[in-house]
Order: sequence, then C-alpha cells, then structure tokens
Amino acid sequence: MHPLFPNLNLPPKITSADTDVYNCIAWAFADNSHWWWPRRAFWPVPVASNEPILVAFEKLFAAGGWTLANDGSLEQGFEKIALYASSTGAVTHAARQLPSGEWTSKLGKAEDIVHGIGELDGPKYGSVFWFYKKKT
Amino acid sequence: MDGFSVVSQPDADYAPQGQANTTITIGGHYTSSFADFVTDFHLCLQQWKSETAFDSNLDEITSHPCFKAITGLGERAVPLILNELRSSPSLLVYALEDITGEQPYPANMAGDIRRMSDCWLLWSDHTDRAAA
Repeated sequence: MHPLFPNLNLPPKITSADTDVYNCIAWAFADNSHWWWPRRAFWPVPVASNEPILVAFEKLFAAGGWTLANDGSLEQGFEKIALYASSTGAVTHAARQLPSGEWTSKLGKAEDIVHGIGELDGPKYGSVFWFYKKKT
Repeated sequence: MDGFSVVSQPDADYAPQGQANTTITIGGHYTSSFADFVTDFHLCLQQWKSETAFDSNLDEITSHPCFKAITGLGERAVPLILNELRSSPSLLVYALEDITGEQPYPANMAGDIRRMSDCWLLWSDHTDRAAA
C-alpha cells in the first residue's frame, strides 16, 4: 500500500516519464508542455494577484465551456475532468477521463498514470470535490 | 573512531535557515568548506524533490522549507541550480528568480518550464553571477 495513496492499485499503470515540465492541471487539459497554476506559472485566463485559487479554477473551467457534472460516469459525447480538493477545500489535483471510462493523471512532478476514479483518494489529494464536463 | 567527532555549528554563514551546518573536527579545527556547502545544497534539493514529488500547487512547492533553504543560500547556489537545469528542466527556475530578482524571459513564457530553463542557461552565458 502506498502511504500517500492507500487506495491505489499497485503497481500503478505508468504511461510517461517523470518531469517538471507539466503538472496534473495541464495534463487534465491535454497540455504536456506547461506547468499550470494561477499567478506564477501558466494560466490561460487572467486572474488578479489577490484572487482566491478556487475562483481562478472556476474561471478556468468557465472560459473553456466546462460545466459541473453530477458524477464521473462515462457519458457519450462528453469529456470529463475531476478536480480534487483537501478537506479544507484547497485544490490539490485534477484528472481527465479517458474514452474507456478510466482516468489519466500526472502526479505532480512524477509520472502519468491510468487509474480508477477513487484510487487517488487519500491523505495527499483528498478526494474529488467537483466533476466538470464538456461536449466533445 | 578516536579523535573524530561531528558537531553542530548552526551559525555558519551559509547554513540554510533552520538547519545546522556540520563541522568535522579531527584533532583540531575544521572550518566550513565549499564541499560542505555543496552537500547542504544537495541534501535540501533531495528532500524538496522527495517531499513535493506529487504536488502541483506551485505556491506550496515554492514555499516548502527546503526550497526556502535553497534560495536562502543566495547567489552561491546559482551555479549549482544551473547544473541541475543542464540535466533537465526544473521548477528550480523559480529559485533562480527568487535569488537573483531577474526573469530572463518574457511574461508570456510563464509556466513553460523547458524554455524558462533554457533561458536561464543562456543568461548564465552572459553574466558573471553564474560563476562557481
């Protein structure tokens, strides 16, 4: 059992090398060439320097035409992103649904993996707080 | 090990914030050396890498105590950070920004860690602040 990801099936299905070049948010939006985070890194929508991080994420999804989804089920004609947060509501991670219904995640500076939606729940990322969807 | 002792010297001028520096005494006085400085840097670096490996939150990554310790080393850490960037693109570009107060790239390159790393290496070719 991994101490930070106690629900993760081991060994994980790794699909990339580790790198600092991009992070989970970038990978959720299918970008593997930027580190996405409000203010100091790449962020495709304008945010004020004193804007709460959560508001920056809401603007990000709204600008891309994403709306809240009820759950992480596979829906024909839609792509989905899961946004994880800690128990205090701090955004920790994002994952993107694959056509198979599985999810792909870049784990911080570490590798990309394919996983089930509940497998990353735990002390590191908390759990999924919001699912977003968008027509493909 | 007769005559061999390791003592803590927390006030050494290069010691990262909150970390003791190590002085080795062998039948006399041994003062801090560049090798100690390099060792401290790599200890901080490895701990920072390990403890932020799964993080995406750049604010948390760059406020980690070991990241602060690295930037606290000041300009003397610049050549060591540049060596890291020569190996692979790294979020240490933000440590260079914090230490030097410079951003050798346009604002629209923010988050493009590969190109930011390249820009720092180009910067090092044109400044004596990158000399070891």
